[in-house]
Amino acid sequence: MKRPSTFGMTIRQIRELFDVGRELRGGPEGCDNEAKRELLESRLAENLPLDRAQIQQLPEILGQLYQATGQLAGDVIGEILKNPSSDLRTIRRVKRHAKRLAAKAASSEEHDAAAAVYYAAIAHALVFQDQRITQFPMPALAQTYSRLSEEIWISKELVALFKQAGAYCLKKAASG
Amino acid sequence: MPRRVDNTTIGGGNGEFVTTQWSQILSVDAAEDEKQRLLLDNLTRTYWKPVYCYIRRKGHSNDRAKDLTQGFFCDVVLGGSLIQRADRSKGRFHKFLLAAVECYLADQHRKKTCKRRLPPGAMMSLDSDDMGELPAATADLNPSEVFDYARATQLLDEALKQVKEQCLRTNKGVHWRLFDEKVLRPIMHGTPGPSFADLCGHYGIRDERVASNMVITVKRCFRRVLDNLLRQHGGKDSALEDEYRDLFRHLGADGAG
Repeated sequence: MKRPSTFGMTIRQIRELFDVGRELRGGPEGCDNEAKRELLESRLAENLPLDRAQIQQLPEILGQLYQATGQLAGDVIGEILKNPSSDLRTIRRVKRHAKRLAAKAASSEEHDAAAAVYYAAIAHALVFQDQRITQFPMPALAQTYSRLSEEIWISKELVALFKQAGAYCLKKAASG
Repeated sequence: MPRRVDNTTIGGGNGEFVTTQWSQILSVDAAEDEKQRLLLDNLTRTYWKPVYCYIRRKGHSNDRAKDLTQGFFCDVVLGGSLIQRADRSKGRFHKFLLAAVECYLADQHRKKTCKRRLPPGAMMSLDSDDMGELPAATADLNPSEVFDYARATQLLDEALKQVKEQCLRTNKGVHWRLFDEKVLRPIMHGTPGPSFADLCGHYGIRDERVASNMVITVKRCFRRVLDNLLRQHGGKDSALEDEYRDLFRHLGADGAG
């Protein structure tokens, strides 16, 4: 069977093929925006794992099931972050979960996707609860949110949250 | 936060010296017949289609364009006069080649004859596909633009061929298939690609992160291979982005982008 050729494709298609992997050239390990976007979507679609206190409150049989499978449905992380009424305890759990994911990330894409969730949790606490759940100084946070707002692989909803958080941080930094 | 980075790559490092076509040509000693034949064979393989497309777009019929292309490669390239006239100061190699094609066409127009002949002992392997009509995508392009179009597709075909071979050679057949379904086919067919979740289910990959990294690995390899091919077509000192700009200058794109 003859190998398919690009001869005959439109110029736009040829240009797209020439652009494949271009963002990976010479940059830090793994700069694939498409992969990061998909990984972030996956993270946000996951259920937040139960924490130890919650497991201990479960009937014994369910606790054993959780220990065996490591899986028990908590709330979906993306929904938690979208909901302004999500309680602070849950937001802190999202932050801790994202930090663990980032720590065991096997690539820069995985790390960046986890970091986006981490900072989203911090942003949620700042914007919707006027609570600070991080030791990062406000000016540094403002810069981080400004940078994250520019990333093309982050969803519009998260970008909006990051922008709000950035404005909050700048205001707090200015007022001392 | 601590970070671990995936260092899996295929295709080896990219530190190998890239021999440009100019350096190949200029290094050929007229006495080294075998080396010369190999070089010319390589040039023929690389540029047969772009030259044919160029001549075709100049208004010649399919058969006439093939005859002229054959004649150019026989008389000028394999006949050795291309090397004798090689002058790096003329700029990029493909521009020098096109100038040689123009001279040849003008010559043939004067002579109004074109015979196929092979210099004794020459190796010549030509792409014998029946080209037929030029693709619809080139309908509005002038001859130089068609030459660049054919050159671009030739580069892509060669890069994809090399990457696929590398993947298969290094037991990364599934990597290649993921890259094909997630990246190539959506571009080629204009359809949305499958999600990583679907690909994981289909190929039995444990999670989407792994699948994503596999695609990135092949993308990186493709990038290295394509960049190397492009460097070979350019001059030693020409920047990669200049090569991209040059290639797409006529093709309606905004250059390096």
